[in-house]
Amino acid sequence: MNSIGIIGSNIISPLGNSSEANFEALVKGKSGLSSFSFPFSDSPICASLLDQSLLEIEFSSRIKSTKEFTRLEKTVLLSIQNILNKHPFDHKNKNTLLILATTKGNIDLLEKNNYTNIPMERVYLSAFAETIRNHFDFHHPCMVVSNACVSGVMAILWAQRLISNKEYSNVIVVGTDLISPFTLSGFKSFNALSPEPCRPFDKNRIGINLGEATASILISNKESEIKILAGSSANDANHISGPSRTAEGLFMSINKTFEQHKNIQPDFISAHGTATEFNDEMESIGFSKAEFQKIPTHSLKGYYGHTLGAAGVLETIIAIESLKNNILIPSRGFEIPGTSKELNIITKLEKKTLSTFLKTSSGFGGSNATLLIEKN
Amino acid sequence: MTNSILHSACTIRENKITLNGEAIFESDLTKTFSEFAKEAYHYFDLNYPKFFKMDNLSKLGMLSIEGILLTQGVRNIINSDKCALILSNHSSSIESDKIHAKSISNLVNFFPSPSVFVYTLPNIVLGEIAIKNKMQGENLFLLSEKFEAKQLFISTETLFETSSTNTAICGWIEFDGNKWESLVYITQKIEDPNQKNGNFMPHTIQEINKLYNA
Repeated sequence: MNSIGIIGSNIISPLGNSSEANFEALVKGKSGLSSFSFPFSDSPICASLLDQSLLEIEFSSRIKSTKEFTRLEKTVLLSIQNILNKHPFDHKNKNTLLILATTKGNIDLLEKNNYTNIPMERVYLSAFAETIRNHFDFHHPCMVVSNACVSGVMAILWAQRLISNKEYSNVIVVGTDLISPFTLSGFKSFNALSPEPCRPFDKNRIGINLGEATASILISNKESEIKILAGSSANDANHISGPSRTAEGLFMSINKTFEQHKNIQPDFISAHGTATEFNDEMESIGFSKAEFQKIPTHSLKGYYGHTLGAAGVLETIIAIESLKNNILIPSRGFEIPGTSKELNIITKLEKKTLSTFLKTSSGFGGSNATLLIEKN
Repeated sequence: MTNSILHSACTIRENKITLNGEAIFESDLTKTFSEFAKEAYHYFDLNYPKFFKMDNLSKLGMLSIEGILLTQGVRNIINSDKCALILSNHSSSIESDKIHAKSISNLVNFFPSPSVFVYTLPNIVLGEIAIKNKMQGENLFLLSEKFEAKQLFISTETLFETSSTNTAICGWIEFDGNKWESLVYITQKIEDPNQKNGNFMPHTIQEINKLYNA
């Protein structure tokens, strides 16, 4: 098995425009969640939204282009540019691939196209991807992954596989989704939105918050301090929107990921933890089946909300920063255990020597995906 | 160099279902997709009422899988966590996206429906296929401008080399208004290098393109 290293990363979120700034904000206990009014909702909606004017300033200072881009595209261009500035390499050669993970891309174009020079066609994910490719002049068309909430973890997993199979030497993975009435109204119709900051794994959890973020990781066949050891995906084959009551898919994915690493007990788990009743319950069952109940576990949804296609990438980056800094980040919003299988949810910031973590995610379509990452 | 074979393939377009090169079901071109899908449902003797609650993308995906399941022996090989599903298209879930967008287009008539919203993700078709056929293996949904045999080939071969997956159902399930079509094929890893290909075609980009263009 070849060594697959994580070379660098970037996060564009309400908590900052670099991975380091985001980690620092979490260490200070800051959250991006606050209340916003939307014309379609009688009551305010709690979400984590990017500051539009800050994004524009950052974008115009870093990206040189005469073309018009959507809000989503701006965050993606900015995130990739930040990675290339920090870790310059010949990204235009044929050994480099860009993988985009998103659930809805430029879906806001379907509601109302407020742009002057952006055609409706950019609502199609391949057209959005081609816009990003053309800006940076990547050799290959982007690989576009859309697997609901597990898209981000899946994209990292496929980057690892493609490099390991020597298809490419470098892969940039970008997870991205912004929030529009499209997604908000949909989750609201499911009665899945919490009016307050969400409380993953807590007894009083009542639902999710949505959040905006774009997160990128540069993965390569070069040796690096941080390595992707393994990963896998599995389907519940149970329900298209409801989490499995037996956590079968999550448990299967964990088993496959640890197949070659049975001696490793991860130092912590970065869970999916959406703060819906059924998701968190399902995860507690999955972790208990895997005998991971005692492992320190957190969800980052209390800081960022559910950032959909970005979530897996964003949360993996934060977990990597945890490894580098030997700091466990508490699970914001958790107070009282509230799952049938009690987990070891992190409640206090803790300095601790860390060398491995498990990232998990689960989503609509019965999908589950997991990653095992190690620090040398 | 390929170490895998193409097992069977099913295409559906222009109200016609073709299995391994032979037309097995056809209905009049004047019929809408919904009418065609209902007739095909009865042809396959599906007995799966949930089918009628699905969006068109999922219906097309379900019918495509029913097609390849008619090939002898296929039912036994897909029912395993070593069988992956890798599907792709151009338009994601655009049909359901448009219905959902319309339901929230003005504040007077603001009635988003959860049963529509759940289909505004392209990988729901993977979930529907997984549930119907009890498939728990690897899942991947990819988007591309047009049918990309190369991307499907590389993804499948990579999965065979880097995981315990030994079989994959791959293809293209596209639905955008009047433009819809599907190709689904099964590819299998040859575990024993001395094993003969038998009557099967090798799994190559060229052969996948032939299946699509047939």
